[in-house]
Amino acid sequence: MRPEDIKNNGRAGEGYGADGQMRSDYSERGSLPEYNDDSNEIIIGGSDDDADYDEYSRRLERRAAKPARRPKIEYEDDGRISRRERKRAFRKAREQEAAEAAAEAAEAAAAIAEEAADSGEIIIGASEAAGEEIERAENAAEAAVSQAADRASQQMQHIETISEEAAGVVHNAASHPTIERIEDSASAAAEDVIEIIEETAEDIKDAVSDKAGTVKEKAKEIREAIADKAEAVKEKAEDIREAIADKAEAVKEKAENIADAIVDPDDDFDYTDGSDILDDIVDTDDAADAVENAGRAAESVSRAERPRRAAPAKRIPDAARRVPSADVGEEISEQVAAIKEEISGKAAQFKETISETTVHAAAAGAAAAKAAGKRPSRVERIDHERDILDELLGDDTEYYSAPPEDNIQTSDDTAAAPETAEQPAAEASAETEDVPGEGAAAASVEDGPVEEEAVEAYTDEVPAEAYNEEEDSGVYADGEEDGETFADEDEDGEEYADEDEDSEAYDGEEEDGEAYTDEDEDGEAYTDEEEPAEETEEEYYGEDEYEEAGEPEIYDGSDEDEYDGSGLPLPVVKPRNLDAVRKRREASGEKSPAKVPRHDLLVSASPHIHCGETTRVLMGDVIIALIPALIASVLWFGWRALMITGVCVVTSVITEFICRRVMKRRQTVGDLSAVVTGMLLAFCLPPEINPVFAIIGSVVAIAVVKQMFGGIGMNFANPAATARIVMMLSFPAAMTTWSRPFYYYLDAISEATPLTKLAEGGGELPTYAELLVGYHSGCIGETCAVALLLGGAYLLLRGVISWEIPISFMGTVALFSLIVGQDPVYQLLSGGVILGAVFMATDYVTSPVNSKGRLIFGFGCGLFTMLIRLYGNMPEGVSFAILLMNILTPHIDRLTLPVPFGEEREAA
Amino acid sequence: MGNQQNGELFFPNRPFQGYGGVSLPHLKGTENLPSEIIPLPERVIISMQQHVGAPCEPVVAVGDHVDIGQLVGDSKAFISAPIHASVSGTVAAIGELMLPNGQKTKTVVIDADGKQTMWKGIKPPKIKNVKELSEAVRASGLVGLGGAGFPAHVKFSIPEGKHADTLIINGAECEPFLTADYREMIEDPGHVLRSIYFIKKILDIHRVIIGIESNKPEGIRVLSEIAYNDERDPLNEVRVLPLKASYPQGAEKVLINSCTGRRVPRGKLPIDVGCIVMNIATISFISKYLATGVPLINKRVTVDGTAIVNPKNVIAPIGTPIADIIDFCGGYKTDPRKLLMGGPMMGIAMFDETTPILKQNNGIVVFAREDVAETEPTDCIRCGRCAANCPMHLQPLLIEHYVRQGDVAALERHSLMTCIECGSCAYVCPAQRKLVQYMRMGKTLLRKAGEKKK
Repeated sequence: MRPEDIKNNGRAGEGYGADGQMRSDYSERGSLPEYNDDSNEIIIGGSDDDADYDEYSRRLERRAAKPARRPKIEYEDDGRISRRERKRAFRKAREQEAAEAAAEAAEAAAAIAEEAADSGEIIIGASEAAGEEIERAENAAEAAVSQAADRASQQMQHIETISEEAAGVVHNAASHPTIERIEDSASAAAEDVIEIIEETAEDIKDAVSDKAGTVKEKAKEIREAIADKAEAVKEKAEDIREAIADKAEAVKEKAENIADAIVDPDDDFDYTDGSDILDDIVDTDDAADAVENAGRAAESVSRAERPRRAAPAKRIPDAARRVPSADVGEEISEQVAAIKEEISGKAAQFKETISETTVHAAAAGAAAAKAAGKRPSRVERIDHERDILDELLGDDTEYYSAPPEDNIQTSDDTAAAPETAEQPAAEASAETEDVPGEGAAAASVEDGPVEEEAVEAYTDEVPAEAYNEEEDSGVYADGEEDGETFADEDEDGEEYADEDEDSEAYDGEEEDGEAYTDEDEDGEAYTDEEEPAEETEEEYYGEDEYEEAGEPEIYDGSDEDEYDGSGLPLPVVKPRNLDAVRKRREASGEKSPAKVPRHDLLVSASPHIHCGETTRVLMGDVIIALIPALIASVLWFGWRALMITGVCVVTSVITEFICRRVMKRRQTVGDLSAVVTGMLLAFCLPPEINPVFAIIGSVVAIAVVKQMFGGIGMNFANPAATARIVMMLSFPAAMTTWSRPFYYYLDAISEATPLTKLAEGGGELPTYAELLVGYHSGCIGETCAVALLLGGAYLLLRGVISWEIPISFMGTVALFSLIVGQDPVYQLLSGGVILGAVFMATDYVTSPVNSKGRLIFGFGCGLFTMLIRLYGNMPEGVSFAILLMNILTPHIDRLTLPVPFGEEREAA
Repeated sequence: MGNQQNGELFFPNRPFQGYGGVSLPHLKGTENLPSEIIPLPERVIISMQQHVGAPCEPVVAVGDHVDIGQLVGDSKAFISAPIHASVSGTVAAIGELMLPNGQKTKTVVIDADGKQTMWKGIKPPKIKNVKELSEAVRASGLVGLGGAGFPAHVKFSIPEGKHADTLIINGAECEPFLTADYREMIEDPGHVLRSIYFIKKILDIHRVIIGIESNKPEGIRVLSEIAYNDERDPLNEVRVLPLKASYPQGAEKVLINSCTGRRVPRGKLPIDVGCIVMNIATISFISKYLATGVPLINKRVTVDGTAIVNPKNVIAPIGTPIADIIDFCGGYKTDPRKLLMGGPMMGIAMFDETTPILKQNNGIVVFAREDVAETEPTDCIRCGRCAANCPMHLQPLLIEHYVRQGDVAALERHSLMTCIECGSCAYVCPAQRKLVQYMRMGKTLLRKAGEKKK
């Protein structure tokens, strides 16, 4: 989670409803078809191997058992008999004993209700005493940290008020008949409870006083003390609640079972597991059993006490670790706030449980009283029995059942089992009494699935061995599962909330449990209970909660367990109170998000990004690459070289501009191709040429060779090379008068080029070094091989040109020279081979497109250059060779078409 | 064709060399942000055309209540995938929607009720053979989530006489900005691998190559850790192959070539060279579906671009209007100019923001006005870069020329239909020519010509 992000995006309040709804959807059955992460088998229903599948099923069961905390069903009395046997036994026993048992059970139920009431009273007394103890503890803490003490004492007051409310509720329940021995056992239980609470209070007192001492020394320890104290308070509230819940459970289950047993003695439906419940009731002497249960309830309270008391000690280090020591002060107040929240949550639970207990007791008593006379329809009963069986047998065919709300909605209004629990006690009992017998019976049946499960839960939770033998072990119910629960408790606050949920499940409220826990998250939610039942759901998505939970859920985990523990390996969009969103939007006058104002959006074909290299960038690179050669030419041939170059460039650009204007085409001066053409043309003119000739050449290059064919991209021949040929033919004398380097500051001295000397003989040939640096006569830009190669390297690195043409051009020249016995170095370094190979032959427009074609093109250029040089009547052949190959380019292109991907086609 | 087609299968140590490809800026700014789940939108607009193939027909009526995962659209055609409700609520309208590609399709508009109740009919499928796998995948509404939206079940319906020997998992995600697949492999590697082992077993495939571009070292590490676990895969038949980070590495044909050296001929499918290619999100979903039975209702999309305030990966119900998602990401920083469904290379520019998320969407990229260069193309200078960078070894410059001339025979000769419209040519074109547009025009020409012939 990143709260800062939420702040930033300004939508902190919107839409991420507190968790719970989806979870209740999925985890209700508690058995999702997960498969084991650690296994290498694929076991998504596709395994052929039955053994594997069995193993998988077992694993599934094991895993399924955990999140739902569904206890295994064990019975104290009959051990492990097969279902069929049980069923048969039940059928025999049922007919004989049902009526008798029903009567007894009704009595027992009433008694148990009374017992609950009494023990409730006692417990409330105890809780008040506890409240005092805690207040004393509060005072001690106040001495240390006044802030913390204030808040905690508020909580204590809160618990007291709850206790008072509970007393009122118990008073209602007290109107039921009584059996003395149950009273005895209940009072014994209550005594235990009192003892326990006193012990707790003692512990709290000690702990608080100890911690108050340490608080004075270090702020860190202050925080620990607060955490500890709050923990103790919370435990106490929890324990009281549990004790009452357990008692209520006992009452409820008895009454339920009796009702069920009475309801339909003639039914031949397979009760297999349901029968066990009834067996349980029938076989037991109910009154004695009730006493026992009451005793157990009390004892379970004491069992619960011990491990829980140990828990806060473990949690303190965690709390300490969470808070950096620098911010101790702030953290303390935060901690206190958190404690306050927790305690208020617990108080809400406590209150709810008390009211619920009373309701159940009353409802169960009433139902039991009525049950003997009235029966629900058989169909209804079978449906509910089936539900129970599904639950118990862990039927894995329905992983996704409707959420509990749906069940409520579809069931009869008068029944509304889970909702009854949320209504005040008096209302509930009044309702059950007012409704004619049929309705009351239906109510008891609607309760059926929940309550019967509760029986199972209870008997498993407190097996005889568990609390006889494990007095000291701190194990409170089913050893394995609860060991885990307590371990979890130590980890952090969230886990603690989970643990609450678990205890709800033990109370038999498995279906209700979800809603219950959800409400705990919002400290204020318990007030909703006073609302009519239909509104509960809406309140659940209430504005407040919605505001508080407005934190986006971050989906981050491959581990399914991280999805709220629901086992659903898909991220789900949380429920959201859309009505509130719509209202708020209407209130603020915003438009629906689906009707946002339209932006001025551009629609175009993909791709929507570009590499950024445009024609202008490429031409600019070529210009940059030509600059070393230009500098060299100025060095060797003086400013005249620069002047000629400038004349060519300017003329080219102007010509291009005028041509485009005249042709009424898009202006292309900006792409710098005319500049490149002008420079290249200048580079292959002699330095001493008349600028007028240079102007003529430039105009020819641009207007005739380039623009007359359509401008850039359309010319079939290289403008610079072609213009040079035109000039050579037009002004042969001027084009073949070369000056010696470095003599420009005297009178220019003409000298034959090395090629001319080679071709015609005579004269002193320059050395290799002189050839490399360009210290020999020749055209403006072609003499300095080093500068040209430098420029070529730049172009290659920038990816402007590819290697094929220069390499094959120069390679062919060198190879041909070797073959015919010429000096390849001379052939390469003198004349225009390098300029032509690097800059002119690589002109995109007039050279082949593909790699293979470019190799052929370079080879042709080299070949024709050498043929002209050696066997033609001109000393230099580069421009002719390039022009010739330009003409051949379309044919080369066609012959070298690459084979498209996935095809084995001969180029044609 | 592949050099080991008739020989024994082997796992390449390095990817096979292909043609062309461009190196793009990655711009994957959201790769380290965990996916966030969007708050429930008020209304979803579920298009009946969320896949390649026949559009679905709505199976619900206005006023019906639908739960999450309930079927709202289906088709009897083979190449099609059913469509499910992504939220619970009431069908508000059955209307018509213009998809970004200009195609009009029916839509089912659902007003969410906020309760997010699951449909009762959802249950995990039981799969024992290929046929059941194919049926289950069809029922899940799964399409290729990488972007093409090809119905996934078709890939499992291997025609008679053909055999798949290689399963390739596409984790390349070569588009800039997009990190949805990357987040999938980081967040759900377990599902990816479980699906792989399952499908491998069902289809009897003994070579699974997970291709991931080398610019995702964390993804490679996470998946390798699981893939090289000897307990799960004793014969080591599932391997991760780091690919060159080159666009379009994730294109199906390119990926098959990189992983196996086989080249899918023009007009053929991967199965014709014995390969099945699945996107990483697609394969991951299969595992989730097999576990829960919840059909394809949510999609992870990367929301990024220069105009977005808080770029992030968002998990949203299918049909969520893009406006809602952008709102969730903090809205616009500045005036948006281009709204793309998908990445910047192959994404479709959209004309408004009410368009809903489709199944195959994996990204929303919004560019600010100042980042959208609206340049006119200049003349082709025959530099050949388009051809050099074409992963399909085509000649875009020539094809453009022939498209302008309407020369169908020449287009046929230059294998225009092989073009995957990856956009590499236009990306590198210094003249900024709209080459992909011409490719599409040319394909239309060819199709029309083909229809005439018939």
